[in-house]
Amino acid sequence: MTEFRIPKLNNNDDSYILVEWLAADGQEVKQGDPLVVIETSKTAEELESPVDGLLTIKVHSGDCAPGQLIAAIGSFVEVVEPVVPEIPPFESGEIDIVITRPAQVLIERHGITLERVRALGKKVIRAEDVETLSDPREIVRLPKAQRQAADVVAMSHQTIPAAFTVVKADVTDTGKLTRDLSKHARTLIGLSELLVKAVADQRAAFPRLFAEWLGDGRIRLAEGSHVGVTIDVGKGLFVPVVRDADARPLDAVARELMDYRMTALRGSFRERDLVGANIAVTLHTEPGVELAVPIIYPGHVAALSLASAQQEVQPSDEGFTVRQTVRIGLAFDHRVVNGRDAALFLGAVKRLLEEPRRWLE
Amino acid sequence: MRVAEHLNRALHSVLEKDPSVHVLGEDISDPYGGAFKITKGLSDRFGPRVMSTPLSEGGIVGVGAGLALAGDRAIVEIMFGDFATLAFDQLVNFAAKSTTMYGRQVDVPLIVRLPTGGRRGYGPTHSQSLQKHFIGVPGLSVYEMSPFHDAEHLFTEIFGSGRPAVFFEDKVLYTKPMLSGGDGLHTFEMRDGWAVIRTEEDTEDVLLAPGGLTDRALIALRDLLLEDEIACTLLVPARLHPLDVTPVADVLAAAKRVHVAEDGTAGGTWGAEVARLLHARLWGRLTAPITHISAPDSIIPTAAHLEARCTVQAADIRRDIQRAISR
Repeated sequence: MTEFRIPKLNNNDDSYILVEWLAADGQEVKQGDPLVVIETSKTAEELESPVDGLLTIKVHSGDCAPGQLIAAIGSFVEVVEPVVPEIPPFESGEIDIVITRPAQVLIERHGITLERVRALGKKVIRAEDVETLSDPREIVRLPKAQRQAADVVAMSHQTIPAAFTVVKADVTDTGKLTRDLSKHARTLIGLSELLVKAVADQRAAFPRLFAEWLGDGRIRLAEGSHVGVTIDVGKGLFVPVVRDADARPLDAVARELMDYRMTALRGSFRERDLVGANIAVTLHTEPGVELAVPIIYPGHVAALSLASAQQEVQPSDEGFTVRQTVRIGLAFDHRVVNGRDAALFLGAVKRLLEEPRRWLE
Repeated sequence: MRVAEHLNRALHSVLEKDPSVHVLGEDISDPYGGAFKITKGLSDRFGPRVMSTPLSEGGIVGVGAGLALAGDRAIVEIMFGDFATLAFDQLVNFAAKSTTMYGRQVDVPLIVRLPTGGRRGYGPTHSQSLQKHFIGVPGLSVYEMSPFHDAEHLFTEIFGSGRPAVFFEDKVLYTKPMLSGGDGLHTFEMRDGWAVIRTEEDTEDVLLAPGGLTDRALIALRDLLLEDEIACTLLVPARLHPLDVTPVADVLAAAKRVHVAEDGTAGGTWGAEVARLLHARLWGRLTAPITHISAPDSIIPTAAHLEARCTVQAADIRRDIQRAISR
């Protein structure tokens, strides 16, 4: 039995076309008989039988390659062509899911069923997708507002080298004042309102704390004190802006803050309520909060925090006395201002809160 | 249907529909039907409109341009694209310039078909990809056949443009099937002259390649996705120059990295021109310079193992994209 393979006919082609057999399957052929027509990219070539014998055709027509076994000549011994494993081609048409090799390894390691993989609802399954299936703990996506907050605070951390200073203010006498002021103004005026106004009024003396960092050692000074105030009534954190708080009287500032609180309850801030601040006051007045470190909003230089009032025993002329104190924190961009400016600024704010008479002038 | 047969049918159809079309080339008449059989059956069917010519590339391109200038239309086959160099003068100084140098716009409906590329062991002078030498010739368009684009549509588009064009056809591509719809992994979408091949939308990596690289680019894409978990979109333009990226602007806008692959040798290439165009357009959005993948700056050897090192392989595309991502 002689194997009849396609010889290498030229240097150019890695495949030929078997056009037709000139001898029939099972026919007795003689050495030198034309057997088959093979077409290369350049020409068609007749191949002759190398020996006498019976022809057993293996490949009848179509694509073939140099070296490929296409027939046997001789006795009736069955020729077994070795099976060359081939990567199965992707079937055309509708795509179900595509599983990457790293993902496939994990699927097999964890014994995950194809149904659970399909339930991911993704077209391409990567290793990280399978990892979520191998861990029973739930993964949830944060609400949109929190995702936005995440971006803002992360950017602050990445871009602003912040320092922090805190002062303690004695507000024992401020309580009576705020009650009087509230009655007179017919709106709530508390420590928060006083602080917003006290901060806003410092712009003339401390313009850099209201500025915007432009990079390259330059800042843009503000044209007014626009104070962002944190309000969180359980419906997400909002920072509405009290515009021109230095140019307006305390009761107007207080009324606007009250409006914002009502808006927060209804959850319907307008875009213009929330933009344009150049400094922020964050309120942490829940009982027991002693100190809070605020995060500077990207584009601002400073953020203040107001903690809750604490009862404090202090030495007095003839023994001891109980005082009300709050801690006011200032986080500041150290590229723009230094600790001395921060301390002077906080001192000025503190004096306004501690000496209520100033508000009545 | 294989690309060679598709091209053959397109020529049959163009000749049948438009009696002003002539086909010229060396040994293109039946029964031989051209070195790659792309012109098979044309001379038997259309007689003197299909003409086997003497061996003079400059001569036949000149005749083709003359026919086009005189109001007919011509498709010229250069047996091996390498010999387009012999017709360079006719293309640059006659065909392309004739569109404007007579004081008014003149149509020159001429297509010069160029079987091109290596990977068949044809040696240094029958394996080249000379696209780069035709980039930026005023008045001349550069096209490349792909398994996605309808050849008859492209021939009609070129004739309609009034500009002469060189039309590159990869010689290995001839033996590959035409592609449409998808391959079970990628979807194939046609958009105004571009094929968009992808598994997912808005991938961070985008590969631009002429049609002749399709087989290797598809293998690279598949390995990148299945082995490396990198999703990459392949964009295949039919017209390489002038290149209009508007139809695929959204795909490019989503990209963080762009890679350009081509078969020509390194230096002064089509890919460099694409990178220039895209850097200006995508500057600030890309996180890395555009990757350029081409054959090395080398004459192509005949021996198969050496030729493989001097032509772009699927593994080269995959490796260069991996490197660009990990840099």
